[in-house]
Amino acid sequence: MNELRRLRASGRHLVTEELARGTVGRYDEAALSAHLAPAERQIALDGFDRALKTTLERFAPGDPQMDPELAMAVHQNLPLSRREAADPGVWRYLAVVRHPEAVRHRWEYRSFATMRSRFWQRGTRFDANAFSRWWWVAELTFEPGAPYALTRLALSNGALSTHLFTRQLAWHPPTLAACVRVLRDASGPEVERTMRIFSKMLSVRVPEAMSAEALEALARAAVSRDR
Amino acid sequence: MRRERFLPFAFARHGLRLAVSELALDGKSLPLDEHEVIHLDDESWRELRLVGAVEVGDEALASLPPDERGRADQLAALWLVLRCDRTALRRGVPVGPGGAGTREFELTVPRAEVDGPFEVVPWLVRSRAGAPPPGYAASEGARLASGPRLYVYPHEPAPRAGDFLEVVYVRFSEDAVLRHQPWRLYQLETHGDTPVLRINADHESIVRVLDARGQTGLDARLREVFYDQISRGVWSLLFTGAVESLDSEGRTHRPWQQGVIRELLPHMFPETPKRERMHELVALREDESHLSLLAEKCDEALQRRLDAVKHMTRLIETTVGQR
Repeated sequence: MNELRRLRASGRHLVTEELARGTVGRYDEAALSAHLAPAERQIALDGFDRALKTTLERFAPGDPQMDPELAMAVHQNLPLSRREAADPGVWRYLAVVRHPEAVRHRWEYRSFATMRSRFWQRGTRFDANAFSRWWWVAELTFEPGAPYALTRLALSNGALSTHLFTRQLAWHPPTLAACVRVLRDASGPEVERTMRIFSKMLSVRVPEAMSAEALEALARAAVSRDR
Repeated sequence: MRRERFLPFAFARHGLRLAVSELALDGKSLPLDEHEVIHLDDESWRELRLVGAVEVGDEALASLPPDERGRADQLAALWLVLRCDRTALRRGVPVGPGGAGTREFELTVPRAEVDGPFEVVPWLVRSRAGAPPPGYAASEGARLASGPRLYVYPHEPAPRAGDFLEVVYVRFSEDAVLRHQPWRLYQLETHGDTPVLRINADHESIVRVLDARGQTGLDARLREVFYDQISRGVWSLLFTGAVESLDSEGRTHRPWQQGVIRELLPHMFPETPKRERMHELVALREDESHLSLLAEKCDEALQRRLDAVKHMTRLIETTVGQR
């Protein structure tokens, strides 16, 4: 089977400590039919599989520099609409059934609770399903004029990506871009404090009604207030 | 639930009025039954078009200092913000300048951009920074006013309880069995092909309210709250009966049981894809340790569906108005 599928909620028990540690490398997909369903639309995975393999091979296990490259590879090779990508079943299929080795390659096993989340939990948090996070971060940071330039910047700073993609302000492209441009080289504590101040500033404004320049100026003001 | 903040400057939380006058799916107009909530068929559309207007009243403009209110068209702007949590969508749509009056809008939403419920929120914001006196917003983008948001649910309209029920008024005092329970307001029988709800006609003042036909006034507001009270009990009983009859494939013994479950599932598991909801329900039912969670989900679904808060608030507003 070389098409995208969905792992149903009933397949939750497949996320075991053995899978997370790699004692079980990969399940036999043919034996999981009761928990699998077709994706909403037929999407071939040949290109996706190749791009993922090539990207993983370029990095040593645990190297965080693979994040932007993986985000690009996953997003470029999975042409999903946002509606399709909102289905956690597709991300669970990719992480639990098709490519658990990618999750293990990116993150060293430290605790089962966190690893389980990286196989199962939808969203863009740092501990969410790995494929969901890579795809959604690339989607949110994609700018047609300079595809994936912002993705690279956002994911190259671990503290920034952690604090940015746990907040709903990251859903608004100009606000997200302002944060990335202003905080791309900031330290962890600076990112944390600035994001807190910037979020508070936005809570009395409507960012959707502000220009990109005004948002960037506001983000710079948040940095200054932080100092 | 989204947290509301109290702002450090003048802000009219209910200063705008958003009204939808036309709804079309893929170019085909649909009737509008409600104006704050729209229900759509889950599968069969590609593009939603909403046409309507936002009204800026004096209350909204009072968020600008008196000497700026005459220039609201230059200093303020009206926006709609479209949000869909499941697709991380936040999009602003400019409606027009922010002076007093009514501004028309047209909003197009591709189905590919949304999944699950989404909302449209009207905002009046400061479009230009200024130096107003203390107590007024000064910054570009600052909130000046908002209004009731429009909710769009991508599933079919909720059928009325009567679609699954036969409702009859009976004087319990004249019934051989029920006469011993005069305190009862209603009794539900779920054994047959169609459940029967018997309402005790001995409680004449309550029946008078339940039968009230007007859309305004105290009786109409009381009727809404009374119906919520009865519906809550009845739906809980119908749901329990329907869940008891479920087999592991999600099948039920009787069509009404399937209807009840189909109606409540989207409200119980709003974050779960449609095709997964029955799996979730069966899984909860099969694990005894999850029975309290099941009851909680049912309660959440009923609160969501019945809109008791809106009805109680309207009742309070009506009674306060009559004092």
